[in-house]
Amino acid sequence: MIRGFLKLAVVEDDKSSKKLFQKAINESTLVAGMIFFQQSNELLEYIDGPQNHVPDIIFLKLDPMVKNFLKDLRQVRKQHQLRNTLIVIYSSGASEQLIEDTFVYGANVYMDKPHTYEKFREVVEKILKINFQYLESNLNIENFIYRT
Amino acid sequence: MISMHLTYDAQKVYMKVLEECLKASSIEYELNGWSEVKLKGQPALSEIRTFKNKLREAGIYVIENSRHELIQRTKDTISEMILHQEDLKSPKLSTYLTEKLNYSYTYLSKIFSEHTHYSIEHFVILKKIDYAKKLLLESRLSLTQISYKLGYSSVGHLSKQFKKTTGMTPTAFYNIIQKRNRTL
Repeated sequence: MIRGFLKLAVVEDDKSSKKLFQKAINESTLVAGMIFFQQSNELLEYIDGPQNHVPDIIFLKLDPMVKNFLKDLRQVRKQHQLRNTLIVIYSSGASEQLIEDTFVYGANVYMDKPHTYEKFREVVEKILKINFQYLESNLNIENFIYRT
Repeated sequence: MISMHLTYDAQKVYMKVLEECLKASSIEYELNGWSEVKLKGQPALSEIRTFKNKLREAGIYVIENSRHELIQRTKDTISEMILHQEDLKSPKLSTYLTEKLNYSYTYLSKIFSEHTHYSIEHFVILKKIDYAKKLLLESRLSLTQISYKLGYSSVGHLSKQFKKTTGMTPTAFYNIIQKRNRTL
């Protein structure tokens, strides 16, 4: 089945980063809608809510300062409703060990957040296109790992 | 009461309704014959949806299934080709698809990328690496044996394509999945 568009959820608390996402996503023809959350637990509440909305892709900011980041990530990954949802972790500077850990704890994609808008838009679009193939074709989501 | 008997030119009615629907939307278009409409520029999905709904109200339907079915058949044929790569004597992707699907490769490429936002060539690489991952995790084959099975010219070629597609080496991928299986 060809869906033709993607539903995104972005967990981000910084205003300028939100704007960056909004601008890049507005330029993409692949996306149908996007919703922001301040924290991952808000996302989980939303998914558990009566409307039962499930995003196709979750963009989750990796904040090394957040003590339980990996635990939170694992909680998101283990949600039954999100078994076919792809998780993209992004950060502008994380250690190699932490990046590896995000994959171990269930991330599908790690995006090294570019510093310029053009590059950011380009990388996001590339990620959306690859994720779209995984969502639309008979490819193994469980083993889908991609590092930009 | 006055009774009137009517007759109509179905094609003329259809063309008039179609043109009215097109004019009512802000999409720029071009008619190719009487059953194909080319939408110019890049209209938003919502605009296209509104346009399709308007047509539906008038009893005109956009035929989508045949193209979607062709894309699915293309994907299935690619999977089949990858699975039997070993038995095929250096098959050329374009020849293989043309022979199996009876369409020119140019046409298939165009339809495929329009609907999937991905080229056939890139999809084949994604599918091959997906299969390589499966073999790496589930079979006892070495990377060299996997590269042979998937028709790569060398293990180096497979490693290079694996790294480009996933962002990591086959060994790093293997280790992560092993750790993940113990963690999740």
